[in-house]
Parts: sequence; C-alpha cells; structure tokens
Amino acid sequence: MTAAPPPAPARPRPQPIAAADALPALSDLPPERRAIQVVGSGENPVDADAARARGLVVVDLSDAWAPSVLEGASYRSVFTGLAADRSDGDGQPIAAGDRNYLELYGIPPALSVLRRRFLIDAQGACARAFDPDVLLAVDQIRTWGASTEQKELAKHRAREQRLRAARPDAGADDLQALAEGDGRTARDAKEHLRFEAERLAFAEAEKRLACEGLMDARKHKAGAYDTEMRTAMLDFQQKHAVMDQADIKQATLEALARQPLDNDFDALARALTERAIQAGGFIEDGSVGSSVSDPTYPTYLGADGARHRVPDLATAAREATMNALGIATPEDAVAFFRRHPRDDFRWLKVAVRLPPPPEYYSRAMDLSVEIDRGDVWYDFPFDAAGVRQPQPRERFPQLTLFVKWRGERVPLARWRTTVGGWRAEVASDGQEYYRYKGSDVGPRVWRHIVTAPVWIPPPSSPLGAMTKEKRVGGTYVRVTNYEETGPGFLSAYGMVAAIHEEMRRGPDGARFFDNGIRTHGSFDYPSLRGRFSHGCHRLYNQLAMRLFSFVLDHRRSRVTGPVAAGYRRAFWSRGEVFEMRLPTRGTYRELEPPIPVDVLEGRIKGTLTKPIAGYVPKPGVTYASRRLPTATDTPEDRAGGDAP
Amino acid sequence: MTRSAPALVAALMVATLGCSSRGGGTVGAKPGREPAGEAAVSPGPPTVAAPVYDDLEPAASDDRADAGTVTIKLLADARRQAHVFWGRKDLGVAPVVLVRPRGSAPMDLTIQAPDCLPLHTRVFTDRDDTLSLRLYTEREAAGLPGYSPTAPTTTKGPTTATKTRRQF
Repeated sequence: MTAAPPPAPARPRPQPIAAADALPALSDLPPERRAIQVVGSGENPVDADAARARGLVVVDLSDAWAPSVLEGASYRSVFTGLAADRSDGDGQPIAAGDRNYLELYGIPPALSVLRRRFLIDAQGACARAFDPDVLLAVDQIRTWGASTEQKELAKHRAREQRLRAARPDAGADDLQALAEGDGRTARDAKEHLRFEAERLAFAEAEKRLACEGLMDARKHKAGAYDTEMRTAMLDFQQKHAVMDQADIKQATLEALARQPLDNDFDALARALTERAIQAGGFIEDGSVGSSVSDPTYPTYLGADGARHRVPDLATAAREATMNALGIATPEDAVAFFRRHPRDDFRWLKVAVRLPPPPEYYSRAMDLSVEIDRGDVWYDFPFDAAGVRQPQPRERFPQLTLFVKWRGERVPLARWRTTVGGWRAEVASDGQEYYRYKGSDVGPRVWRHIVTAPVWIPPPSSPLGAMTKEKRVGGTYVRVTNYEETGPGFLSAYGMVAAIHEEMRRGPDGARFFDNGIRTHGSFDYPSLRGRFSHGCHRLYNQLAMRLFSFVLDHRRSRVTGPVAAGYRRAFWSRGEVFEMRLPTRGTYRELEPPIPVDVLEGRIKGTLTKPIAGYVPKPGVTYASRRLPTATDTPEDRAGGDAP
Repeated sequence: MTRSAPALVAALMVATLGCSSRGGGTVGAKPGREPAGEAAVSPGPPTVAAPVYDDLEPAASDDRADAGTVTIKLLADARRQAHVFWGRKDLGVAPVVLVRPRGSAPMDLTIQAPDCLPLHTRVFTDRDDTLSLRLYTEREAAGLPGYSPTAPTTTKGPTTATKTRRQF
C-alpha cells in the first residue's frame, strides 16, 4: 500500500525580470558570448557582455564551472570531470553507469548531472513507490552488523511471543494498551512497537532505494541491512548530502521520505548557491549569527551613519539566480531542463541581477581571521587504570573571517573547524603511542594559499593503505594509492590549504616560520562534527574553496606556481615494488600582504595547563622497550590525514 | 629468490583477479551505479507520459582546450629488457617514449623485467619528463620499507584502504 505524495511546500513564484534589465534577444551569438534571460514563459539569448555592462552578473551554469580558487591548477579539469560523472579522481574515464556522488566531499554535481536526475525522476516511477508517512513515523532505524542483526531479530520475535502470552493476563486489548502500563511488560511492549515501526520503515527504505535505482533488489536480502543495502544507503546519502554515513537517522529518513524531485530541487539549489556566490564574489552566508532576526546579529556601520546587518548574500544570490531562471518549484526545474539538451551545458550562462556588494567590499579588503579553539583538554584521556576519562566540550572550535571597516571588525562568515588533540600515532619504533598534537596558539599569518595541495607522507606512515586496486587500461592492477597524498578531494589537505606562518620581525625584516599548521579543506566531514585533527584547522572542502576563492578575489596575490616536491619513495608490498612520486606540492599563491590569523587559546579544561610533550604509552600495550622514541613534528605529521 | 617472467605475469594476473565488480573509482567516494535513463524498479505505470531522452549520460569529452602534448621518457638499463605495461597493454621495452595530451590523466605503469620484481610507478602529464626506472631484484628489495620475506599473499576484493575509507 502506498500513499499519495505529500503536497509540495509553497514556494514564491519567480518575479518577472525588471524592464530595465531586459536585453535584446540575439539569436546569432557564439556560445561564449551568450547568456540567457527568462522572459515570461520563454528564454532569450542575450549578449553576456551587454548584461555585464548593465550591472548584471553572469552566472556560469556550464559543466566547465569550478571554484575560482582552482583557476590555473591542473586539478581543475579533474574537478569538472568528477562533477560531470565523466571521470574519476585521476581524471580517467569512469565506467558507463557509474556515478560520482561527491557533494559531501566538496564537488557539487554539474548541472548536466542534475538534469539527468530531474528528467528521470519526472517520469514518476518513484513517486508512489514508498510511503513517506511510515518512514517519518520513527526517528531512526537502528542497524547492526549481520550477526548482531540476526540476534536482535531473534530477540524481537521472542519478545513478541512473551507479549502475546502476557496480553490476556493483563487484560489489554492490544499491544498499544499493554505499552501504556508500567513495569517490564509495558517497557517490552513499547520496545516491540518501536521495533515494529522501525521494521516497517526499513521496508519503505528498501523500496525507496530500489526505485531510485541505487539498490539492486536481486542482490539484497529483504529485511537485512546487508552490504548491498548499506552501499545503496551510503550512495543515497552522498547523493543527497546527508551526513549519516549509512546510519539511518532523522536526516536520512527525511530525505528518504521526500519525493525524488524535491531532493533534486534541493541539490539544484545547493549547486546554484556555489555558482551564484562565486559569480558575485561573496562569502556572507548567514553563519555569523543564529538568526537574522536576532537583535545581537552582527552589524556594520554604513556610510549613512546607520548600522546594517551583515547580509546573508549566499541565500540572496541563490534566490536571485533561481528567480532569473524562472525556477521556484521542482516542476519549473524540470521545464528548464527539458528546454536545454545536455550539450547546452557546455556553455550555458544566465544574466542575473545579484544583490549589490556591501560597501566594505573592494579588491583589497582588510581581512583577518580568528580561530577560537573552543574547550581544550590537555589531560591524558585515560586514568592510571587505563580507563578512558570523559573530556566533554561545550564550545567547539570555530573559524571566523573578519573585515576591518570604519574601525570595526565585522564578521563575514563563521564556521566549525577542528583543532588538534590526543591522537594515536605510529612512532619510529613501529609501535603506536598517544601524543598530544596541538594547534599553535597566537598571531600567525596566511601568506601562501596552496591549490590542489599535496601531502607528503612522513616516513612513519603505515604502508598498508599505500596501494589499492584500480582499473588501468581495461584491467585491474594494484597501483600506488595517491588518494591521501593528493592532489585531490581525498587529500589530507583537501583541495585547498593556507599555511599558518609565524612572522618574526628582526633587523633583516620579517622572517616566516612554518610550524606545520594549515587551514585546509577535508574530505573527512564527520571530523568537523566534533573530532580532533592532528593540529590543523579543517573545513568542509566546499567551504574551504569558497573561503579561499573569496580571499583571492579580494586580496592582492601572485601565483608562484607549482612548488617542486621531487618526492620519490619506493616500498615493497606483497612481492612487488611500488613507487610513490609526488612532483609538486601544489600550486602556490602568495598573498601580498599576508592575512593576519589569530589563534585563540580557548578555554582550558581539566588540570593541566600545558600539553604533554612527546609520546605517551597506550594503556594496555606492551612495548618492546621502555625508552620512548623521539617524536617528529613536520608539517606532514601535523596534517595526518587518515594515518593513525 | 627471483621470479621468471611467466611467474611475474601470473602474479600480476592473480592480483587482478581480486578486483571489485563496481569499478575502481575514488576510495571513500566510490562511484555509485544507477541504471541509464530509467529507474531500476517500476512499481506501476508512470504517472506522466515519459519523454525519451538520448542525452542523459555524460558527454564523452569535456572539450578540453587543446593544450598540446607532453613527452615522457622512461629509461632503464637496456640489458634488463624491461617491458612497460599500461594495464594489459605492452608499451614496449624501455627506453620508451610516451606522448600524451598535456594535462590529461596520469598513467599508472607496471614495469616487468626478468629476475626483477614488478615495479609500479606513475607518470604525470603536466610537463615533459624523463624518468629513470630503478628495478629491484628480490635481494635488493629486502632493503625497501615494508619488505617481508614471507610469501606474498593475494587478496580478493577491495584493498584495506578501500575498506577503511568507506565507512559504514
């Protein structure tokens, strides 16, 4: 039994284009000079240069779009290939039918990819295939590994038998009535009803994944959270930017319960946000306050003497772009994509009246950064008996970008980031110890921004993850694994990084010291939700690219080009020799002048006020020697990536 | 102990047998798979007449501007008779000269020579390059990081890296 799809939420209708913005339709323009304007129910091709001259902004809708920070980097073509489902992380073609779901890793789908989703989902095959109410009747679906799942299902059946036997004695008409009482039987009944609801929701999730084409029902055992379904669920979550990592929690259930076209619409809105804010050169996304209606929301002093709220330009730019495209509903989006065949996305652009930049904008903004480390514990997280001690944090680290304007520091964007903490690390003796890998405190500068950065693995890196299987020339071979080193979205440094340098002034002028800390993008999005780094300040990849695209747009900089690494390392694995070759460290840009970065100490919790230096033995581990190895502290050690 | 060339080929083939059926895309973000042009399950007739599109799949090329080519020279001691392979394709005996589009994907190559362990290396296409191939006998490989004198093991399915990166 399936339910009718819920009614779509009301969305504002697109406003017609202002008469002053309407440009003459020119049908014979070459693609590179062509933009579109939606007028009434139709579209006009207009001259993109004329649009700019009229103060409109041309937003790139083509599959060639990439964040501007990637301009000039050879990785740019890999990025566009990944976004368009054309190629893999090395730039090599992916197999027909394979999809890259990389939005959570900072690579939003190209519009031709979204077109495919819209046009398939508009056929309606999935619209009535599942019951959203059943999915939303639970707040999560608990899942387990295969053996535990069998035990839980057996427990459920046994509980059901007990409750059936107990119901007549309790005089309850049904299990719901039984659950309303007190005592163990009532608790059992509640748990039974909850479990039943989860199983019903699970069955709807199975239908949902199958109808969306993510799960092959023939390879799936109904009712089991087997590998086929876990893989499909992870694909679903990555496709729809849900961070549940194959767990089935509230956000996943909500996405599963939404109609496919509504999910597509949200994906389109997210993709257009990135393109619109880049076209406008914006960064303000409403993240500096909890609500724009909050009276304490940050403001700046305008030339008119009045205080103005720091605007949410990301939302405004997205809405302006969608309005210019005539898209207010999923059906509008379907109509838009029906109008445009795939090949249009080689060149498609739209002329948009974006909100004007605030008065503090310029080509050389007085930017600065503050990183608050939040609550920090230096205490070793185990007691003498080896029992892990809780180290709760109420304040988490955050990065704030400021502009200095009329003598005030105005916050533009504030995002969660990471700081270092206690980490397990393989020492030079090959054994694993704990070590406090802290984040530098005090004034630093960003002098270099590195696009498509490369992480050089320290000699202590375990070799187990340094090879992988890959399709090469039509067959599978083991190759050296460059994913963690980069360049790439899985690199330990993400797709862009800024080096924290300590500036010391001396008689010969300023000298700069690299203490190994970077602010960088990260594929490891769960770490942004409360885990520790090796000392670096991680950002979601897409936010890192937004940030540094903005910085390069609004500060003077010069490209110093790819910096040679000349790294070459051979290692043995399973009877074969592998070479890791890293010719460059990435494309460097030097900021002139550097951007000040103040790393605040945060609130020190616990008893220690300074971190413990060097290695600390792991509780319960027997070491070959009582002598502790010396700890190294290179920039690569700090970044760490997935290394322990 | 050294290996003969047939043994090396056999070893390479054994290694390739353990491949994932889902393609070798990016780890932790392995490509998902959807049917082309239609949903996998059609529980009922479509609610609207379904137009047919023949352009839903990605375009074959990205129209990358012609950035010219790069020349990559692979050098090895000619007496080694080292064959350079790209997948199954034998590109010849080193020295080998490769001409590739500038900025195209890097190439993962396998070098096989009698009495030497297979060598896996990568060449990049952002500039002209000359790469001297250092081949290792079993005895020489004993000095390499990770070396273990135990017999090599083969595994089927994804590598450890794949498993750990794809977090469930």
